[in-house]
Formats: sequence, C-alpha cells, structure tokens
Amino acid sequence: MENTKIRIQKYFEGNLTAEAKDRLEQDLRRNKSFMKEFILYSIQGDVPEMTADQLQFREQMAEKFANDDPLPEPKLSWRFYVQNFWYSSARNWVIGGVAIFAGMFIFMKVLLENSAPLPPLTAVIQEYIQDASCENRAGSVQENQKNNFHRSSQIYCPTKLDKKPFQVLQALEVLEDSCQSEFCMSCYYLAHVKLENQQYEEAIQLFQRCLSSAGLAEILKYPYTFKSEPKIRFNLILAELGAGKPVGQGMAKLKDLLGKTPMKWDLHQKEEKLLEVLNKYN
Amino acid sequence: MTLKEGEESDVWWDEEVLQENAFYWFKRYAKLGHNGLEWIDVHQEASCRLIEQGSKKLENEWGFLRNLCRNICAEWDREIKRKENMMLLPSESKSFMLSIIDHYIQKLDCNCKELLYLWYLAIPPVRDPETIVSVISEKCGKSYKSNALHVQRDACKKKLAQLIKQDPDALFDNPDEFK
Repeated sequence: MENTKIRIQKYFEGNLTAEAKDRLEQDLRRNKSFMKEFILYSIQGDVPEMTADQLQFREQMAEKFANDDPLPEPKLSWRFYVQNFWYSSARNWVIGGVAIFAGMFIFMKVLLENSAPLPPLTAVIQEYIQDASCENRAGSVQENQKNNFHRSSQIYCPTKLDKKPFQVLQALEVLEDSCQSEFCMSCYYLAHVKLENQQYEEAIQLFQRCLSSAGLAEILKYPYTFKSEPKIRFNLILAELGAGKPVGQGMAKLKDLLGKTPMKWDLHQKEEKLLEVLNKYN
Repeated sequence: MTLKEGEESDVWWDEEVLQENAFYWFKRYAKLGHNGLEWIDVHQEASCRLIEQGSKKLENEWGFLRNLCRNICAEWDREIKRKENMMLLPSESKSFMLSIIDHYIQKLDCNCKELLYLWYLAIPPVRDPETIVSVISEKCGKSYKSNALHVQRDACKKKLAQLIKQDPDALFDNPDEFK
C-alpha cells in the first residue's frame, strides 16, 4: 500500500523514469484498486484532510475578509529580499561557496608562495640596504671636519635614491684618499656606495672602519649621523651575506642586533622582516 | 474552531511581514494566479493556520511566516499540478477516471457539483472566481464569496473523495459494466 502511494506521488511530482511511468499506466488499466488509489490521491494529495471545524473556521474567515476593505498589494523593499535570502537555503549555498572559494584562494596562494623560486640573495640585499644619513640645514658641523663631511654629503646625498653613478664612487674615493685624519666621513658614505654597487668585500672593510673606535667617535659626534651605528651594523651584515658568508651566521648577528635596536625604530621592523626572509635561504 | 469577536484584529504576528511573504510567494508560484487564486487567499489561509495554532510568541518569526506562506503556495501548486498531470494520462485511463469522477460529482449537492465540475471537467476550464460564483448562484441559489471558493472546493473535494472511497455504485468492481 505504502509502495503504491509512493509510486503515485512520484508520478505526480514528475519523478518517475519513462519505464516506471509506462508500468504505472499499465497498472492503471489493469488494476482497479490501484486506479482508485490514484484518483483519491489526485483529489486529495498528501495534505492532511481538513476537519469540519477547520473548514467552518475558514468559511468564517473568508466571510470576514470579504467584508473588509481589500488589502493593497505590499511593496517589497530591499530589506524584504535580504531577509528572504537570509532564511532561504540559498544562504547556505552562498556561504558554503564563498568559504570554498576563500579556502581555495588561500590554498593556491600558499602553494604559489611555497613553490615560487626564491629571488637571488643579492636582490634581497639591495632591497634592504639602509641609506647613509645626510647633512641637512639643521645642526652644525665643526670647522676642522666641515670640509670632508660637507663635501662627501654633497656628493652622496643628491643621488641618494638612485644607484650611485660611477662619478660619485670616484669622487668619494678621491676624498677618502685625501683624508688626513685616522677616519674621515667620506669612508662612511663610500661604504654605502660600495654596498649598493655590490662591491661587498670593499664595503665590509669600509663598514668595519666605521665601526672602529675612531670611526664611531667621528660618526656619532654629528647630529645627522649620531644614531647611525645600528644601521652600519645592519649594512655590514648585508655586505657579509653578499660576500658569501653563511646565511646562518648572518641571521645570528641579525638576531643579536635586533635585541639592541629600539623597537620604535623602523630599522627594528626591517630587521625582523629580513630575518623571516633569510630563514627561507637558510 | 470558531472565530471570536475581535479575535482577528488581535494578531500576535507581524502582519506586514505576513502580507509581504504572502504576496512574494504567490508571485513566485505563477500557476496559482492562473487558477483563480489571489495573494490575499494565501494571506487568508496563513492567518487561519496561525490562529488555529493558537496565540503564542513565535520563535524566529520572520522565518516562520516565510515558510508558512511558502508551504501554502507549494501545497496549492502541487494540487494544480496533480490535476494537470491527470489530464496528461493516456486517453483510455484518463477518460475512465474522469467518467468515475463525473459520476460521483453528479451525486454531490448542487454547490459542490457545480464547483467541482468547473474545476475538473469543464472544457475549457473556468478559472475566474466571479464567474464561478455567478454560475453557482444562478444554478443553486447559493451566493458564495469569491475568496471563499478555494475553501469550498476543499470541502467538496473531501466529500467527493469519501464517495469514491466508499464506491457505493461499485464502479471499481465492475468497470466493464460501467463502461
């Protein structure tokens, strides 16, 4: 009996295969009790039959509605459509779709990031080089050193944002050669230019000179460069990496430097970021 | 269940939401409009079901009213499809079934006879509620409200189904005799 009802129900819902439909139509011709079920279902369907009370109540309501003023057609606002979407099953499909899409996007991003070849280390070095500090109008310079510092700064700083041209390199080298003290500021600028020109071995030597006691004494006394020591140490690490020193060794030095660099400085963030990048090369 | 004075105006649901949903779902089920129904019929049926359910706070009211209106429209849509699918049967089965339905419709009281005849058997089918009301009024002297027709039809279908179930003329036992 239940099977019969399901067959009939499927027929009316259009869910029978052509073969099953043929069988049902044959049964209708041959089996009269099946036909009776079929007719009863076609009249009543699967909705529970209304009781006499329910019918009477509906008649009353119909009478009341008929006597009232007709209701105007409601105007559906965008709020209605939003609410309707929210309570519909489409919501789950859309949310699911978005979640799958986001998941796939993240997965692809991670996959691409991990599978992409690493850029050469020299490119990383170039990206992270810290420029030398420049003389500006504020502050003052002692007369006896003014010449060297002022001239070096004037040569280096106007071209600061670009790769230093050969003439800059030459001019700074001439200044450095003519230095008559234990340390001149031309050494400081020349170190940066060498690093930018990927002359790592020479850059290492120059940065080490900057970090010597005479070098630091000179550099730290100017108001423009007195905070330069961490930047010089940072650039020295870059130069050493460029010269082919082990990445692990550079990372150890960088970690040490990170602990000493004030957290508020931009350099601190750059050191953290470089550590992350170097980790991939290690 | 009887409607008490003033009960219908003391509703506990959001009437605006109910009307919007009744209207929206009625438009979504386009077949209803082609079969003499109005969106107000959906609203009316939904109101009846809400009152029958009894006065209580509805949890998730918006969703409840939405599903109520959608279910009513889906039920009525299935009812129309059942009738249409019956007409798609091979002519031999269809004519036999329609003759049985016709036979027992003729045994019903005048109102039901006319109402169900126009619904199932009239060619071309009569869909306009006002026309149906005027035919019944003319032939049976009974004046229905046009918005009560679907309720009356349900009542008549119930009577017809009972009659076919009992089969007092034993049409299903001796089909050849009947033919």
